[in-house]
This record gives sequence, C-alpha cells and structure tokens, in this order.
Amino acid sequence: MQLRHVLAALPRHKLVCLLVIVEIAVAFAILCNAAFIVRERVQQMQIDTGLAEDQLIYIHNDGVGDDANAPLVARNLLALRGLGGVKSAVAMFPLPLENMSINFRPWLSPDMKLRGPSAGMVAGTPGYLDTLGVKIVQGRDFTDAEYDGLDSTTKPLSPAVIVTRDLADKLWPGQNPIGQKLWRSATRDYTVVGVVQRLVRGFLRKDFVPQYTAMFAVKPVPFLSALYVMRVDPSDHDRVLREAADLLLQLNPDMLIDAQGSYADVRADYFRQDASLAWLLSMVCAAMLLVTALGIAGLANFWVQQRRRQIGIRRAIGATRGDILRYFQTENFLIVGGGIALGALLAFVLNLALMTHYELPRLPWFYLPIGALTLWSLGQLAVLGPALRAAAVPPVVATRSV
Amino acid sequence: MFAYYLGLALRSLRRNPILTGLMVLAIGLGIGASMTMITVLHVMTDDPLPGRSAHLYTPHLDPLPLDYASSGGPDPSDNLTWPDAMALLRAKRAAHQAAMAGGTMLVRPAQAGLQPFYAAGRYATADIFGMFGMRFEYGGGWSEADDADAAHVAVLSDTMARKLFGRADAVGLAAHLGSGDYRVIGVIADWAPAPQFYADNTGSQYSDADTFFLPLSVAVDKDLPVNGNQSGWGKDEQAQSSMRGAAMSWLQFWVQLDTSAQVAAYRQYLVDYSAQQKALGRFERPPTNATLYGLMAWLTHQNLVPNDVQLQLWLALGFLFVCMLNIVALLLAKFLRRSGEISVRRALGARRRDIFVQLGVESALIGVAGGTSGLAIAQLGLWSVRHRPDDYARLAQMDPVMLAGTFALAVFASVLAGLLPAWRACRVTPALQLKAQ
Repeated sequence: MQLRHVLAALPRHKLVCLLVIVEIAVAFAILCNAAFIVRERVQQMQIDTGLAEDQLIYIHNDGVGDDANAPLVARNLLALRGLGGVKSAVAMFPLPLENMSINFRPWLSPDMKLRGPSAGMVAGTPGYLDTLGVKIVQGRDFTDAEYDGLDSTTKPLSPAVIVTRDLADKLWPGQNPIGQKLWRSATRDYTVVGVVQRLVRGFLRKDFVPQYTAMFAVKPVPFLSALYVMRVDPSDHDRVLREAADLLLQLNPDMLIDAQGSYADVRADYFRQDASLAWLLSMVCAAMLLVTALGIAGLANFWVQQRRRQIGIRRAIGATRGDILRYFQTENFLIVGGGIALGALLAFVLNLALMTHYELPRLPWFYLPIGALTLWSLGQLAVLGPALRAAAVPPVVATRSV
Repeated sequence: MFAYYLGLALRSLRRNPILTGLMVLAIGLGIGASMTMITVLHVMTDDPLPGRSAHLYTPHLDPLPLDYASSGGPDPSDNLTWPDAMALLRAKRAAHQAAMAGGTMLVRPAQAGLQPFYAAGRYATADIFGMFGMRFEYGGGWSEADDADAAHVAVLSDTMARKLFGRADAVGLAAHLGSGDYRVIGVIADWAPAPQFYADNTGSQYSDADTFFLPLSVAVDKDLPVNGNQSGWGKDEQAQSSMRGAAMSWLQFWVQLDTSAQVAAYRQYLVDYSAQQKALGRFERPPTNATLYGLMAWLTHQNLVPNDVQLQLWLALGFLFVCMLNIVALLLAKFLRRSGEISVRRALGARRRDIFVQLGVESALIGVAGGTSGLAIAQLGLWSVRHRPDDYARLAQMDPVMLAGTFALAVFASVLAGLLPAWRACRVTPALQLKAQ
C-alpha cells in the first residue's frame, strides 16, 4: 500500500531521482572493484614464505670484496654463533622477499632440448635450511661435505640441489624427484637430494611462480658475505641484533652495514607499495561513501522542506508519525535499490575494463550483495535525520495557507 | 550586470550555509583527489630535457634468437650488447653519440670521520657530457683516447665533490670509488633530469641523480657492478654472461641527430648493420626490426607510469564524477526550490537567458570556493604522496601550470554541473509559481 504511494510520487522529481540513481550506481561500481583490489593486494601481502619468520634476524653489509678475504666470512660466522641467544648463524643469498634474486630456467635433459619454468636460486652456508626453519618432506638436507664454492658465472660447484614440492611436481610430475637431474649449462648438472614443503624466492614478478625455488649448498665465499641471517628467540631480537652488529664492526672495521632488522622488516619493506595503494583505495572509498551519504541527506532535507504541506495533510487525515517515517525510508530504499541495480551492471563493465588493462581477476559475485547491503544501510542512515524531521511536522500545517 | 549576479549569488549561498558547505566540500574533495593524481602523472611524464629532447634518439636493435620467448619480464632488446654498442660508436654516423650504463659504487671519503656510503653514477663514453648538455664548473670530461686506454679518471657532480672533499673544485684530487682510485678531472653542476630517460628502464627512473661518471671501458675492465637488467640468451656460456659478450645486453646508447635527413640516414644505417650481422650469423631476426626512438617516444615505449599510478588517477577521476553528480542533484533541488523567486524575476522582465546566466554565476562561484578548498586538499594529498615509499614521490610538487589547472578544473566542473539545473530552472513557467499557494 505504502509502496504504491511512494512509487506514484517519484515521477514528480524524475531528474533528481535519476541523478541520485546514477550517482549511487557509479559509487557502487567503484566501491565493489576497489574493495576487490584491496583484498587481492592484502592477500598477496600475506604470502606464506615457508620460513620460521618470527625467529629470524638479518644483517646486510657491503661484503668482504674479493676471494682473498673469503676466510673472513667463516670467521664472522663463528663469532656470531658464539653470541648469547643466537641458535644458529649462516650467510646466504637471498632471503625470500629480499627484492633481489638470481633466476634460471633449468634444462631437464643433457641434450638441452626440454626446459623448465623460471626458478629462483637460493644459496647458503652449512645448516642454512635448518636456520631458516624450512621443512624437509622428502629425501634429506645437505651433508657438510656437499658444500662447495661457486664458478665464475656464480653457478654452484656442488652437484647437490634441493627443490620445493611445487617445483618438483612441475619438473617431474608423477615421478620421485630424489635422484633426478637438472642442468644449468652444458657442463653443470645438479642432482636432487631433498624436497622441502615451501620456500618463496627472493623477488616476485608476475611471470614468476613464487614457490619455484631451488636451493644450493655453498661454502662461505665472498658472494654470500653480504647477508648474515641468525635464528634467535622472538624476545631477543633487538638485543642480539645490536650485539651482532657491534661484533661484526669490531671484527671488520671496514665493513659498512647498510641494513639490519628482523624478517618482519624485510616483509614490510617488500610490500610497502601494495600497502600504500590499499590505504589510498580505502580512503577514497570512505570519502566517496561520505560524499554520497551527505548528498542523500541534503537532498532528503530539501524534499522534506518542499513537502511540508503534503506531510501535514497526511498527518491531518490520520497518518501516524511512524507512517511518515516509513514513507521516507521506503522512498529512499527504492531509489538506492534502483541505483544498486544499475550499479551491478556498471560494476561488471568496470571489472571487464580492469581485467583487460590491469590484469585483475574477475569480480566474485558475493561482492555485489555486500556492496548492496552497505549502500542500503548508508542510504537509510543518511535519510534518518530528515525523515525524523518530517515525522515531526504537526498536522496543523495542513490548515495554514502558506 | 555581472557584479549584480555575483552579489545575488553570494547572498543565496549565505542563506543556506550548510548546503553550500556540503557542495564546496564535495567539489573540494573531488578536485583535490584528481589534481593530486594529475600532478603526479604530470611530473612523471614531463619532458626531462626541454630544448634538447627533440634531437636525442636511441637505437633499438633485435639481436635475440628467433625462438626467444619473452615471459613477461623486461625486453632484453631494449639494451645493446657490448659488440653492437662499440660498432655503432666506431661508425660515428651521428653528430654525437655515447654508450652508457648505470652503476652503484661504495664511496670512501678521504676525510676522516665520514662514513663510507653508496653512490649512484654512470659508466659512459666521452661524448655524453656534450650531448646531454651538462655544464662543467671545473675541468672537463675525458677524451676518446682516455676511453680507449681505460684511464682511471672520474667526473663528479657538484654535490658529490663537496661531500667528498669539502669543496667544489676537486680537479686533480683522488676519489676512492669501490676498490679503485680515480683522478677527478672535472666537476659538473648538479644535473638531474626527471625521468632519467637514459637509464635502464627496469630500475627506477626518478630516484637518485648520477653523482659520478666513469669511462665505460674502465667499468668493463674491472667488472664493476652494473645497475639494471643484464639479460643473456643462447647456449654459449661466455657470450651470455660476460660484459663483452655478444649475447648479453646491458648498455644504453644515445645519439644526437639534428635534421630529419640525418634521422632517416641513421635509421637506414641501423637496418644495414642488422643485415650485416645477420649475414655473419649473429642476428637471426629480420634486419627491418632495427629502429630508432626519439626521446619522448622512448619514454612512451618504456611505459614509465606504473599501473598503480594509472589506477589511482582513474579512481580519482571516478570520485570526481561521483562528486559532480552529487553537486548536480543538490543544485537542481536548490534552484527548483527558488522557483518562486525566479518567477518574480521573469515577471519583472528577466529573459530565460538572464536567469540562466545568473544561476551559472552562482555555480561558478561555488566552483571558485570549491577550487580553493580543492587546492588545499590537493596540497595535503601531494604532501602525503611525497612521504610515500615510491621513487617518484619526491617530485610530487605543484608548478604554476598545475595550480592554474586546479582552479580551471574546479570552475569548469561546477559550471558543467550547474548547466542542467540552471536550464531546468529557467524553463519553469512563471505564471504557475506566482499564484498564491
């Protein structure tokens, strides 16, 4: 009954209603897609690296220079292990998400015809897999004897390699990866001795699969001397970091430490641009919702003022305050509903455009009802004030001639 | 008449301060967000070397194997290999030419008490200084003979010279860069074109200016660290991973060509060179793939503006659109509510046109107020952008063009928004409104 009256009265203000419908539609489309983008970024930022993240601290320096200084690396590691609170210390390259990496595409046969996808290289000194906290699910860790040096093109000399589960499944589907070989050049082949559950590579790019990583065994050489990683108790981070930095500078007066911290710092640093984009999108959406709400409130206020006489007449012939309130709420519900219907269409069109230009995936359907609910609540809240003011119009207004 | 309309508009806006405030806020937010992103886009795509950019070109060869499949990473053919760069250099087909690559070195100041620090610089051949128009404060660049001999000389920027030696005149002093000593032979005035069009495009194009310049041959001799993408291809180990290798690209190359005839001739030379290399078996792809990019065309090719910035720009414009729709609805309601006053004016002799102009002036006034608040919001937005971790962040400043643009956009947006309401209001039939209610 109420609905019929509301619908009958709407065409009087065709233009304004249309404008509000279009505004809500555009806001809805932008809102759904922005929320989707934010969720995608946040999911990326939560990537599981496979490490024991809360127990790792690192010190990054400018390295020891040329091969003559190689014994310094072993000496530094020995000294670091002697510090109180350090469970283990290794030198390695790179840490997952350190924003640098060496990547290679392994060949799967000696005739170099079959080639696998790009894999990230990780190399470290004895015991580094244990320090990082990665889980070995098949085969074994490297033995101490297997750690060897690097050749002139930074390919490890030691023929042992450990791969991640996903990389093993990709390179040798359905077969036992232990004992399989991969080639990095005509003369360099490596045999798989173990498989770890998961380890993310140093640098992610949209064409890199994050968990395709190959781990190599390298003894303390200058190439690894820039990054020392230690495993400590979460409560000891700051103290051990300070002591370790002091110790290294004491032993190596020429060393330049350019970065240090816990693994959480590495992660935050890697994703800072995603974080800033997510913040910006959220803030613009909030501002847009605010502007829309204020606009609806302002308009509703106008309409109430314009229709004082009609409201008075209705009250005079028997409408209760509740009826008037419900009338305005229903009217708002219908207008916002029209906007949402148009907005759903726009949201998909916008999503198509984003899919082509920004490689966003397709918008999942459940964003639409959530967005609809948000806008409906927003509209009802915005119109509440003016609607209450309308309900307060006394019936005597009907008898006045102005 | 205009002053009268202005007075009317002011009075009308004052009569309903909340509504006016709402509209000014809506426009301010929309303009502020849009101008922030438009300014960022403006500084990222501005001409880095006005006056010279029209004559600078970069050759683009295609030495990749036929079956090389790019997996979405940077295109190795955007850089040159050492043999190609040296061949182009020796051929001297342009007025000026230079090969270059970026490098970061650890600098140890001679003065005691100063910590060592990392500095960004360039390894280049002799002609780079004249071609890019760098101004020497003291001394000069090195000669081609120095290039050939791999002389240990360096040119520093003014800031670097002051930082290392405490004074700008550092000619003759020794700079300790990385593991070697270099004799300073020249100091240039600080030079920081943004974007750094001549740098490898996988790195940042907006961050630190080059503070030192070393001869390219020295960098190759000493295997100094190179900033930027070094991509190798093919099966030959040596060729794809050594700096002089024929199958690893890492160098950038720029030439200066003054007339269009020279440009055409150089283009033809690149095609001929590629054909020659194909005959020798080094190149596999068609020689006509070789091309020449002008500076601004090269910036477009590199797609410098990250996707995120474009996304933010479109979001800001979408937000402005929503704000404008808001304003249209509010103005429509406001103007229609004044039908009585408008009808009285019509009865007194105002034409439809006059009412339209009067309401248009009111919209424009809202636009000016909205532009002021939008400017304040945009400055706030740009301040927050400058504090972002992005490399282009420090460049986000408003120049006079953008400032004028803010007001122009604000007034344009509100006048546009006010067109429909004003037209609708001036078409109200006066007689109906003038009857006693």
